[in-house]
Amino acid sequence: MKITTTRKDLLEGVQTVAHAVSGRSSLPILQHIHLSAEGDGLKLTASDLEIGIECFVPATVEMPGEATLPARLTQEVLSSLPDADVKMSDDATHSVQITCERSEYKLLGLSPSEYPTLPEVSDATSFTVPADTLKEMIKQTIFAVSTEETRAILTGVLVECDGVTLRMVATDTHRLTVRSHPVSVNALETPIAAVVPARAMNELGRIVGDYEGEVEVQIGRNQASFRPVDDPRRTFLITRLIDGQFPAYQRVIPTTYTKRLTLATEEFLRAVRRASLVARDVSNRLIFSTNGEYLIIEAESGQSGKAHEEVEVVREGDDITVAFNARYLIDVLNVIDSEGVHLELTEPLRPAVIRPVEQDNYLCVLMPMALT
Amino acid sequence: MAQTVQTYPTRIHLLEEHTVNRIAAGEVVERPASVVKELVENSIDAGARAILVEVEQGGKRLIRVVDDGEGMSPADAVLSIQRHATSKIRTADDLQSIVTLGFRGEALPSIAAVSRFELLTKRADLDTGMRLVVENGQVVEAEECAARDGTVVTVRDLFYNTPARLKFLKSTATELSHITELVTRFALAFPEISFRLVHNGQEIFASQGSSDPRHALLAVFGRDVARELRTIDYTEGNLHITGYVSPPHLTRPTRAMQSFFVNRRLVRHRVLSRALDDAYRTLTPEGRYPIAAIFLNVPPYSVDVNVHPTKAEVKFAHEGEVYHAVLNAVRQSLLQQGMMPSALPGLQSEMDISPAPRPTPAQTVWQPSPLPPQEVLHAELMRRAGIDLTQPTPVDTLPSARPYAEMLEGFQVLGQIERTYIIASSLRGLLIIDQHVAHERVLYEKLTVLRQKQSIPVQHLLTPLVFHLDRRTATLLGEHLQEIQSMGFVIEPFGSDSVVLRGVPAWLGQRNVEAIVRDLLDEISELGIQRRLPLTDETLVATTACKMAVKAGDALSHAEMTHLLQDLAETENPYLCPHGRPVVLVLSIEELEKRFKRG
Repeated sequence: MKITTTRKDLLEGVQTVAHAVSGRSSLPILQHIHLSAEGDGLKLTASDLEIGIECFVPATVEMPGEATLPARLTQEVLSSLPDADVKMSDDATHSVQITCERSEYKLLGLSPSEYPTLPEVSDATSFTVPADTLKEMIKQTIFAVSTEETRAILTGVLVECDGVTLRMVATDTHRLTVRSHPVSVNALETPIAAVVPARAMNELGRIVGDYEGEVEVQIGRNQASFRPVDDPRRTFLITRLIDGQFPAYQRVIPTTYTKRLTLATEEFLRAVRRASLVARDVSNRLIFSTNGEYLIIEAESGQSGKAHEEVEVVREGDDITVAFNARYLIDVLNVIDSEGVHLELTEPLRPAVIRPVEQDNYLCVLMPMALT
Repeated sequence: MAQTVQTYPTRIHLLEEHTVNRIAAGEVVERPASVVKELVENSIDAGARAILVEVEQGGKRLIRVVDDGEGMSPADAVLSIQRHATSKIRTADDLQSIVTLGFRGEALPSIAAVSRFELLTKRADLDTGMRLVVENGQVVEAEECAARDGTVVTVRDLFYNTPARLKFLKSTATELSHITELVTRFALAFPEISFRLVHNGQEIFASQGSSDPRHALLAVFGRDVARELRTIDYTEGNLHITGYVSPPHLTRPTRAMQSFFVNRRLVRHRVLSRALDDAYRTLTPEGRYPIAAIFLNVPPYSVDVNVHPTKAEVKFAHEGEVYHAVLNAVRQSLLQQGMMPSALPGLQSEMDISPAPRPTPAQTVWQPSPLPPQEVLHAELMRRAGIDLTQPTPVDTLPSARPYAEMLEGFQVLGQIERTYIIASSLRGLLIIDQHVAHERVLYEKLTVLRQKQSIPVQHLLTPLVFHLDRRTATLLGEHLQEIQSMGFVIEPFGSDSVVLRGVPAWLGQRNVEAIVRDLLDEISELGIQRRLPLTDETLVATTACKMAVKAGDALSHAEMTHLLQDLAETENPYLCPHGRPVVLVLSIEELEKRFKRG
């Protein structure tokens, strides 16, 4: 293999795929990234066997070939090199020589044939979603993913599609987020329900970060893949799916409400944030009660004191007193862009629903805390 | 000489029979469960297909065992309550080849000696049955009468005439749980017999008697556990081993769920427990025990069951062989089901000084350091002035209130080793903190204080969790439901052998509540049996704190460790450490200097 490219392009490529390199794998080869030079550039691949990321770096290929490089060291070397052209070539011992102006490095690689190939997505259904929508869907659901590894199924985001609606769902048993978006999938025989690990979703959010086109989504039985369409860098992410049955989340979503509070999102968020400061040692418990045109937010802790906030509210239904974990409210209010939010309630210990005003594509079910 | 003997009255005399029986009863009949054991064994030996055990007040007021076995003729019935009368062996040679559960001929007379005893029996081929009533060891009624085929033994007011024994009986719940445990184990060993246990008119346990061991497992362990159990089937020489063990991830904090049967007889034997332990070594964390029901089939001559009147202990002719056979049987089963290699999550065998995840240098600027600068300065000044640095701190002295405040003064977390110990520095020197015990202490105080104020924040769950319990645990839980609720668990009975969990203490956050609650329930059931005293609130709080605390093996972030030590420094009550284990080890600066020969 022998190629020439720019340091900037190469570094960007390495940084993109390096996110898939596992932190502490027992397989040395998985600490490496795979390089394959052919045609008009270099294809970089990295994987930890759970997720895999591929991307393309334009380069002049003098001699096609393959090599591997240790991800971290290569990243460090490339980011300290001057911004100029970089030449790379390998030798029979799998060492890769990197030359940039008067710097010359020889990094020890491994046999590229040992590098695992990324799997194909089998029996895939595919559709496209605009990148910014995808990013927003991830942002609005992922905070509710469980971090408790013993219930593996909840550590991912459920991606569901019935042919006309794409839905992302996450829950940690205290709260549930559901975001939907219309799509059109041709000839969908059975609805799709795949659970994508949270880590893959985070990486995806990063990859499609400032991309403006459509993203092609492929969902198979064991894997899902995501590829921005017409991306000059040809970034590609593939992930293993989490095996198992996602809980029947629809049953958790209340179908009616008896009280509805409508609040200004920003003002509500700020008040909750402030009040939460004194709620830290009572597990972030805030008590909400309506009083005429105001929603009173109170926190009380034996160790730090009391907080009292009033927020203007439009109320339908009777007065109510209910308690929530401030952290959970902040998480959801943070990802709602609309000016107003609805807080729908029935009884103090029944699930509550938060929705953006005049948008029916998002909701968050929140389980209250006990009042005493 | 002969004259002398006649002159003085003899001091030594033979005891009357009913006195002998009462003494012997002490060996055979320890508690209501022992009565149940003897009677059920008789029923099994009599070829019963269905055995009903009815008890009242944990067996203290009434025990009745009804079977549909072969019954006895009136003459046999009278003989049966004589000491050493048995139909099961004839000569001492028969002891070499015992195939029945009983053989000593002691059970009925012993029981009859310490209770109000009634025997009703009828052989299928005879027209009439026999009814015998025994009180104080004397037959007070004996009549031929009409009866159903089989035998009914009724034991009332156990130990009414031996007040010393009566005093040692435990609470109804404890005695009942012993009986339940016993009957469920019989159900495991004899899946072809249907067992029913009724307490105060309420059915506690029932097995189908379908001959399918899986049905018995389901009845005994509940659905969740039964589904996970793996089978054992192993032969080595003339030892045949069958049974069920749980996969390494399904363990219990005690051995209560382990039972061993030799030729279908429930036994205890340290060699058997050790073989099981050794098979799971390195697969399960310290202090966790697999669930197991293991059946050994050995030739009768190679095992001596006549060691103790209750026959719970046995002697093997070749202990070593038995050990290896059990070890291999369990290992093979685990290996075959591919559970050995992948079964080590979270268990690190090598020393692993994992650096605490720290913010990257670029971010450090924006992270507040664990201590405000002036405190660091103050700490540094103190150090330079040599204040309090020369005092070695023996961990085991009884410190004043807030014993850790001083030890932890100016602390800074350095890292974690083995995911078990937090390493920190303080003005005192180097600190090694057991993360589990430290957290346990913090939670214990928090729980105690908050419970009194009734203000433990509770987070409700979106979908309630249902726990299927074994009968014994369900019974005990009923008694302590309120205390558990007062600690922030919204838990309610759900059918006869399940509970539903609707809410959890909010500070548990995302931790695995299912496992915590399951462990808590097991521990409570175990404590209820072990402790002489009824479970106190304090024990419950301590147990709960222990179960909710981070465990050895949990990776903690730098922030979490700092938070834990801050909380620890604020704890107050040093005298009620839940289990009395040390929390902090201090390696003083002085000690360090001495070791490095700087002084």
